[in-house]
Amino acid sequence: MKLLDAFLAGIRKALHAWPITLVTFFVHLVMAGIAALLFKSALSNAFGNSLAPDQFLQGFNFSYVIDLLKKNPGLLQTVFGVVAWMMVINNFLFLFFKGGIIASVQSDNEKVTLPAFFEGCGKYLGRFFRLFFIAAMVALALFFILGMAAGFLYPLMLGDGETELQILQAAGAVAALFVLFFSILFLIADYAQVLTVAGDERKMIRTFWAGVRFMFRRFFSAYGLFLLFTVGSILIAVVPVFAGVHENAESGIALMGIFLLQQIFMMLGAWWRVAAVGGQVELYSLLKRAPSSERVQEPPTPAVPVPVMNVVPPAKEQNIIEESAPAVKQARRNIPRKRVVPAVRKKVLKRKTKKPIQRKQVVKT
Amino acid sequence: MLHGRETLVWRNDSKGAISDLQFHLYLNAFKSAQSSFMQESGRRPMNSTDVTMGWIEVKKMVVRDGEDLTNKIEFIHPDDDNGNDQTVIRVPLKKLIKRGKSITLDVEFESQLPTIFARTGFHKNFYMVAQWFPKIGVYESLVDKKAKGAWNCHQFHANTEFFADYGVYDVDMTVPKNYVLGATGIMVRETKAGDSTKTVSYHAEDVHDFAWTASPDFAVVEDQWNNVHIRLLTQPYKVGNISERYIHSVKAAMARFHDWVGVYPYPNLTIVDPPMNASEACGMEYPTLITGESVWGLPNGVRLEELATIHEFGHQYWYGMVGNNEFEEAWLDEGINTYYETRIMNDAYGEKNSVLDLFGLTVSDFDFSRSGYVGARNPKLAPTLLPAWKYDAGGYAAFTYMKSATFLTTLERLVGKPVMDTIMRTYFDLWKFKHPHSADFIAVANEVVPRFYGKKFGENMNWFFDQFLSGTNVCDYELSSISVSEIGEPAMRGKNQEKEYESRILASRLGEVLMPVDVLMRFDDGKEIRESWDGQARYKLFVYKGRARIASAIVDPDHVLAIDINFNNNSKSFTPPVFPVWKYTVKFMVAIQTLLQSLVLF
Repeated sequence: MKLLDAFLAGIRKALHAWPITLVTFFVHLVMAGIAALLFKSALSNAFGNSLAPDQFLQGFNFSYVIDLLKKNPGLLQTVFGVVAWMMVINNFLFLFFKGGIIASVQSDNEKVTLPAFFEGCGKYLGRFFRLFFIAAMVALALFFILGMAAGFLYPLMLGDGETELQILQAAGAVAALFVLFFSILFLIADYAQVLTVAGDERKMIRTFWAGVRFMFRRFFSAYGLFLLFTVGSILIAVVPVFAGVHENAESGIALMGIFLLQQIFMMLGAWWRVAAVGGQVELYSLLKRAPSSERVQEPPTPAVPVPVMNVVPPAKEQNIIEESAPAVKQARRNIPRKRVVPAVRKKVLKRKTKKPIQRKQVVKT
Repeated sequence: MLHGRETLVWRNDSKGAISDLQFHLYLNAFKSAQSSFMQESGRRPMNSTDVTMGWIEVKKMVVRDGEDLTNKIEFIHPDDDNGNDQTVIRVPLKKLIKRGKSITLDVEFESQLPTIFARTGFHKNFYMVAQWFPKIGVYESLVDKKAKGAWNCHQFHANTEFFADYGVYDVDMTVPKNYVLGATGIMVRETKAGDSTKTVSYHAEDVHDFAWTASPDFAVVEDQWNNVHIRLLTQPYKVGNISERYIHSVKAAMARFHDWVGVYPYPNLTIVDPPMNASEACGMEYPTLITGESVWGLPNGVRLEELATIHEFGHQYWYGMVGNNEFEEAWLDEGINTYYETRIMNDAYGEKNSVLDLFGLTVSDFDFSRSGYVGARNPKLAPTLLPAWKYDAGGYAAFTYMKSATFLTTLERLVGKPVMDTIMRTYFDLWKFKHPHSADFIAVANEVVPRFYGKKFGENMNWFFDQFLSGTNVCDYELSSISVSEIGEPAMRGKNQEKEYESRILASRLGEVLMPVDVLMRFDDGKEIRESWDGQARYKLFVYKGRARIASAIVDPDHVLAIDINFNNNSKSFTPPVFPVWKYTVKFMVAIQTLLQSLVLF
C-alpha cells in the first residue's frame, strides 16, 4: 500500500507545487516556441511569396515537400540541429530544476514558493551534475554490456526467424531488456538525487551506490511507482499528439483552440512530472521511516519546564531572553543532549554512531 | 537440383532462312562472380558458405531425327566482352531452317537453383522456379524487309528483365506429394506416383515464359473475378487480413484494366506470396503468375502490398500481352505499367493517400512515383529510352519506372483521360501478343491525338516523346515575379477619377523542356484572367492596365505539367498564405514540447 500512498502523495505534493509546474511548463513553452519560430522562419523563407503553402491546407502534400527539400537541402538539417540542441539544453535545464523540485516537495511546508524552489535548484546543481556524470558513465557501460548480451540473445530468441512475428518477438525481447535495465538506471539516478537532497549528501559516488541499494532493496515498490507514473505520462503525451494529427484546422480560431487544448495537456504533463518526483520522495520517505521507527526507541522527554519563546511577541523577545538567561541555561542543562534531526537523517547518524570506536584497554598487571 | 527434358518446336516466321539458334541460359548469371549480372550488380553474397550458386547446363541437344548439336554449343556475349558470362549460347545448324518451316529440338538439361536470388531460387522448402530452362531468343525481322533478320538474345544483366516469343507450353513437374504447386497457365492433371512423388501438368497458351512455384507450406486462398479464377498461395499465418488485401487489390486492378485497357483473356491468375526470408522472389511478374510482397503486422494504411499486387498484375498487360523488349525499351512495360499502377492506386484507395495514410501522413502513389524522378540526385542523368544494362551510373528505376509514369501522367492531363484511354486501348489492341517498339507507341499517339484535337498539339506528338524519351532535359516553369505600379501623375488626375494601375506578371522557363502552359492571373477585385503560353521562349511578360491590381498569379494552375520538377515556384502572391505555415509551425511546436517533456535522461 506504500506504493499507492506514495502515488497519491506525489499527486498531492504536485498540487501544492503548482508554481513549479508553471515554471517548467513555461520554460518548455519558450524553448519549443524558439524552435518553432526558427522552423517557421525557415519554412517562410523556403516558400517565399509562393502560394504553395495553400497545398498543405488539406493535409500533408508529399510532392511539394519533396520539391521544397530538393531546393532547400539544408532545411531538414537545420531543423534537426535545432531540435537536437534543444534536447541537450533541456536535459541540463531539468537537472537544474530537479534539485528545486525535490527540495520543495520533500518539505513538510505545504506552501511551495519560487524562491525556495530556485534556492534548491542552485544548491544541488553541482551535485546533480556529478550524479549525472556518474550515471552517464554507468549508462555507457550498461549499453556496452547489453549490446553484447543482445548480440548473443537475439539469434537464440529469433530461432529460424521465418516470420515477422518471430523477428518482432526477438526484437521486442531485446528492446524490453534495454528498457528494463535503462529504466532501472534512471530510477537509481532519481533516488540518488532524492537521497542527496534528503541527507544533504555531498559524496556522489557513495550516494549513487546508496541509490543502487535502495532500488534493489525496494525494487517492486520503486518500479511499481515508476510504472504508474509512466502510464500516466504516456497517456498525457499521446493525447495532444493525436489531437494535433487528426485535427485539420482551417481557420485561425480553430487552430488556436486546438493549440490551447494541447497546451492544457502540456501543462498536465509538466504537473505529472512534478508529481512523479513527489511520489519518489514520498516513497523513499515511507520506506525509510518504517524500519527506523522500529529500531530507534525514542527516550521519553523529561518533564522539564522549557521556556516557551515562540509565544513571546518578537519585539520583546531579545529582552526576555536576556532577562531569563540564567533560567534558560539551567533548563538547557536539564535537557538530555539529543540532537533533533530529520527522520531521513537519523539512519545516517545512527550508522555513524552505531559502532563506537572501542579503544583498546591495556590492563597492567 | 532440377533435371529437365525439353522438347522445343520452333517455327521460322522471318523472311529468310536461319542458320543458327540462340538460347538464354539465365541461371548461369548466378554461376560465378564473374558473370555480367554479378559484375554489374556488385552486391551479391558470393563468398558466404550457406549460399548455393545457381547454374544451368545443357546436357544434350539434338534435332529430332537429325544432328546432335550438343558439341556445337558455344557461349556468346552480344552485349559486352565478358568472356566469363555464360548466359547466352549459340548453336550453328548444319541444315538451314527455311522461311515458314519448323525445327524440333530435344534438350536435356540440369538446373541448380540458387539460394533465392534476384527473383529465382529456393529458401528452405520454398521454390520459385523461374528462368529455369534453356529459353530460345527472339529472331527479329529487320525493318528493311530485304535485309536478313537477326537474333535478339541479350545476356542477363543486373538491370534487365526478359524478352521471348509467344508460344504454347505443356509442362510436367514431378515434385514430392505434399508440395502445393502454382504455375503459369492452367493445371490439366495431377498424377500420383507409387513413390512419394506426384507429377503435375500445366498447359499455357499465348505466353512467352513459364514459371512455377512449390512449397509444402503454402496456404491456398481462392476467389473469382468475373470468369477469372484467382488463386493466392500465401503463408498460413497471413491468411486473413493480408490475404484479403491481396484479393481486394488484385480485383481492383482487374476491374480497372478491363474498363480502361482491355479484356484479360486468361482463365486464371496465381498470386504467390513468398515467405519472409525469400523476399528476393517478391514483386515479380510471369504470365498468369505474379509474386506479391507483404509484411505481417504492417498497418493497413501502409499499402505496399496493394501497390506491388496492382503493379505486378498490370504486367499481365504490359509485358505479358504486349510483349515489348524489356532489355532494350523497358519503359514500354515498366513505365506504362507504373503509370497504370498510380492511376489504379489513386482511384481505388484515394487521390491523396493511396500509398500511405498513417497518423496524418499521407502520400499518393503519383506523389511516390514522381518523387522517384524529381527527387533523384540528377534528374538529367540519362534518357528514358536507353537499354536497361546501360544505366551503369544508376537511374534505371528513376527513369524507366518513375519518369515514364510521370510524363505519361503529364500526357494524360494534357490530352484528357478519355483521349489517353483511347491511345492506350488502341495500342493494346494493335500490339497484344506482339513485340512493339517505342515508335509503335508513338505512332498510336500520333494517330489518336490529332483525331480529337486536330493540330492543337502540332502535326504530331513527336515533340512530346522526343523530349521525354530521348532527351535528358527537365521541365521547370516558374512564375518569376508580379508587380504593380500606378499609372499617371496623381496631380494630373481629376478629383473623382479613380486610380489606374499597371500590373506586370513575368513567367519564365527555367528548364529546357518546352511545353504549352496556362498562366492564371488573379486581381484584387476578384477578377481572374487565364492566358495560354506556348512555353517556347525563355519568358513571357503579361501586362494589364486597369483599376484592379494583380494579387497573385500561377503558372500551370491545373497541374497539367506533372513532370515539372519544382511545383513550389509556380506561383507568386502579394499576400502569401501564412495560415498553413502557422498550422505546421504549431504542430511542430507541440511535437517539440512533447519531446522536451518526455525525453529527459537523468
